[in-house]
Formats: sequence, structure tokens, C-alpha cells
Amino acid sequence: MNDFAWLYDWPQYIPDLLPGLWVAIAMTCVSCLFGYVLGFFLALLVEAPSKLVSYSALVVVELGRGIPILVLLFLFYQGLPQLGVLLAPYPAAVAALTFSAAGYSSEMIRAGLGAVPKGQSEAANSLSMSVVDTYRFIVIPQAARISIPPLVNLTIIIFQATSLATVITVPEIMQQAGIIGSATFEYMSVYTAAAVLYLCITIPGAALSGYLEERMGTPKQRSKKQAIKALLPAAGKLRTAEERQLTN
Amino acid sequence: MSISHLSPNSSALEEGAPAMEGSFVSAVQLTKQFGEHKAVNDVSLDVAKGEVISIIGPSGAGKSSLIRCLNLLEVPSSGRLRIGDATVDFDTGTPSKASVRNLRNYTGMVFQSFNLFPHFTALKNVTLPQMRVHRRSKAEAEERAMQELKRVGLESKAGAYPAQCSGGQQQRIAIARALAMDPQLMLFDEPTSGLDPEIGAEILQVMRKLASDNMTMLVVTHEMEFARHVSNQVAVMVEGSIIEQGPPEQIMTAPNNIRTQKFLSAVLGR
Ligand SMILES: Nc1ncnc2c1ncn2[C@@H]1O[C@H](COP(=O)(O)OP(=O)(O)OP(=O)(O)O)[C@@H](O)[C@H]1O
Ligand SMILES: [Mg+2]
Repeated sequence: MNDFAWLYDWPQYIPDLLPGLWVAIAMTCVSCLFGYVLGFFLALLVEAPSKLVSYSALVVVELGRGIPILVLLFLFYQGLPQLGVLLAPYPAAVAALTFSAAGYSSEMIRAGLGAVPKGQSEAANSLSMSVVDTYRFIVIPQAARISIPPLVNLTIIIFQATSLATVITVPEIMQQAGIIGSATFEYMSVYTAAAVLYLCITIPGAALSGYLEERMGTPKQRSKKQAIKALLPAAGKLRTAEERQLTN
Repeated sequence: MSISHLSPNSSALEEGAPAMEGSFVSAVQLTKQFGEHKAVNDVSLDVAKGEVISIIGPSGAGKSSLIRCLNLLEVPSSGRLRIGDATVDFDTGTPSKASVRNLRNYTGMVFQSFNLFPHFTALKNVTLPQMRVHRRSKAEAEERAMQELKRVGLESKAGAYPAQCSGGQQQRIAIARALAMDPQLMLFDEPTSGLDPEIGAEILQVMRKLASDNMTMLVVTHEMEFARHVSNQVAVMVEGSIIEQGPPEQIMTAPNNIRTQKFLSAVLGR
């Protein structure tokens, strides 16, 4: 047997792993969809005026960010049945990934919402726009420009994290690879094929994130002239501060 | 001197507190507290329909806080406020959403920093609030928007994004956006402070036209020329209170309050 056979052998395992890829993609989509919606509402709650609401939301966020996904998987799959909640492997994995995605995304979304100048919602308020309309048309579209690139990155990380779900027998890529490997002993080839499948998603994903960051992150339209203009209100303040000194 | 001054009844009225009945805006003992600090301290103010009042005063006097209280961007800590038929009493707890909306519908506001929506064109900045708040159709809203953009001399900029407009143009679009909502009271918070003087003059020109069209206006400004020649009344605010209010000529040339004199000599350089 040739030590280098795996170099050209691995592609033959791709077809057998494809069903696992679809499971991984489906888990990513569902977890991120639920996770980011949850993350959005957690972000709003963290900013709520009530301290109790705000701190409770922050605790949920920190749990989502702080507990490793592997631990969450075991908690949901093996821990919850002791409390009478029985989850099948797939829902348990989605729950764990969703929880983690919610925690991380809520901080990204909160950063985006926080970066929208206060004057924007004040202007909408002064025009009698409702709170919901203000978020929908004014705040969220502007926050999205800031939040979307990191959310794309997070989606890639969640996609990679679906591989952990093999430990609770979800039939994703790693589960399939393990089964084939133990039947053929061609571990090098099979896991190379698995790695290539992950890379097929993560590399274009990283490129997309980079592109979006460039397009959305930097305010390119902003000319030097406007940058100077932006400083002028500060100059106005200086003048009025002088007045104040003089009048006191 | 007008004829009414000859009648003993009305002259008595003019000498006393401003008349409540005839006024369009009536603020009574408004106070806005930030923590321990009273940014607005027991201010009462009456504005007649079509009147233009300039609010002047040193930095930190509470001028912005006061006009933000009038459209409830800041909710006053105490006092009462009436604009047209909308009344809100702040002594009896947080005002209801409906009463806030009623009151706000009377007002339009122009900010020092323009606050146009950067992701919309000038046209959409002016149409979207109309469609969402007044439920106007797109065609209706666009017709009205073009009318208002024309009024501020910017119909050619309808398709431009705020970033493609100069500061002066942005401020004029912001004025058009406010006017398209049919406000009966326009609030201006230092609308020209962020602009070069000659660009500020464009804005002042638009405001002058608005005043001559009988719009009721409250203008926080450092433009003494505007205060003097366009407004009917000048109110001087210091440390949260209106210390003096009167016709511009009197305030500018013969102020009664020593602090008004100090402030004016500082800004007018005399
Ligand atoms: N949101 C706020 N929280 C706490 N303090 C505030 C807030 N807004 C205003 N203040 C304080 O209230 C006082 C009045 O501020 P305000 O902005 O109304 O003054 P101003 O007369 O408009 O001054 P300027 O000419 O500099 O704009 C200041 O001491 C300010 O620090
Ligand atoms: Mg101010």
C-alpha cells in the first residue's frame, strides 16, 4: 500500500459525505435564522430601560457566549432528559447551536444598533414615526451595514461547529466520515474529503464576509470636505463656550 | 403703534402675563431635570399663531432642552404644555402615547446636525414619513415632496443621497422633510451653526420666507441678525430660565436684565 494513495483517493468519498453536508448546511441555516432573531431581541432587551430586564438578557447572552457548544450539546441531549425533556439528536443540536448563535449575534447586533447616531431616531421621532417604523426603516437598515459582515463570519463559525454534533449522533459530515472510516480504515482519505467539503463552504464564506466588510464597513462616499464639515459643529461649540466664559 | 394699544382693556393685557387664550402654544412652568440639574427651570412661554420667537443665550443655558421639550423629544419633569388642541400635563405622570402623538403632529423640527436618513435619497427622506405617518399614497407623497423641495430650491437634488449634498443643501432638505408633514409649529435648533456663514445665509433665507408665509416658529439661534430682523420676539435664556423676553429692538438695544446685557456684549462684541 502506497503512503500517498490518499492524495488521489480522497475524492471518491465525497459522494458518500454529501448527505452529511446537506445536514450541516440545514442545521446552520435553521440555527442561525432562529439564533439571530433571538439575538436581535436579546440586543433590544439588553438596552431596555428596566435594569431587571436588561441584566436578565445580559445573563442569557453571556451563557450563550460562555458555554462551549460541545457542553451545550451534551446538556441538551443528555442532560435535559433527566428533567423530562427528551430531544432527538437533530433538535438538540439545533437548540445548542441556536443558543450559542443567539449569544454571539446579540452582541454584534447591539454594536450595530449602537453605532446608529441618536439623531437618526430623534429625527424619526420628531416626524411622528412610530417606534416600530423607526426601527424598521431607519435604525435597522443602518445597523445592518455594521452588523452583517461579523454575522457572516459567525455563520461560518456555526457551520464549522456543526461538526461537533457528531458526538450526539447527528448524521452530519463527521458522523458519516467516521462510519466510512471505521469500515474502510481509509481515515486519511475520508477525513481529507470531509475537510475539503468544509472548505468548499468556509472559503467562499470568508470571501463574502471580506467583500461585505469592504462595501459596507467603510463610509467611502465620505469626502474630505465632509469630514471637515463634521468638525464644524465642534468649532461652533468652542465659540459658544467662549461666550459662556465672557458672560459669567 | 397699533390701534389696540389705545383700548384700555388690551393694553392691560399686554402689560400682564402673556394671554393664554389667544396663544397657539402655551407652556406653563415647564421643568426638565437631568438628575439633580434643572436644564429647564420653570419656564412659561406663549406663542401666538404666526409668531416667530428667537431663543438666544449662552451655551448650556437649556435652549435645546427647552425646544426639545416642546415636541417631547425630552419629556418634561413637570409643567403643562398645550399646542393647538393638544394638551399634556406632566405633573400627572408619564404622558400617554396618544397624547404625545397628538402634540407632536403639530410640530416639525430642524436639527443642527440635519439628521437626514443617509440610506435614502432626498426624495425618499421627504416621502417616507408622509407615507408612514399620514398614510399618503406614494404618488401623493412624491407630489408633496417635490413641492417642498422646490420651496427650498432643491428639486434638482431629489434623486441625490445626503452624502452627495452639501451641508447647506442637506439642511434645506431636512426643512422640506419637516414641512411636508404639515406642521403648524416649526422648531429650529441652531440650524446654521454647523455651516459656513454664507451657506447659513441660504438657510436663513428659507426661514425668512417661511416666516413671511406666517409659519409659527421657535428658533434657537446665534444669528443675531436673524433674531433682530425676522423674529417678533426674542427670549433670552440663562441657566434654565427665560430671564427676559420682548421685541427684538428692545432686547438688542435696551435690555433690562444685566445678564442679557453681558451676553449681548459678548456675542455682539461691544
Ligand atoms: N441628555 C442629557 N443628560 C444630562 N444632561 C443634559 C442632557 N441634555 C442636556 N443636559 C444638560 O442640560 C444643560 C442644558 O443643555 P442644553 O443642550 O439644553 O443647552 P443649550 O442652551 O442648548 O446649549 P448650546 O448652546 O451649547 O447648545 C447642560 O448643562 C447640559 O449638560
Ligand atoms: Mg443646544
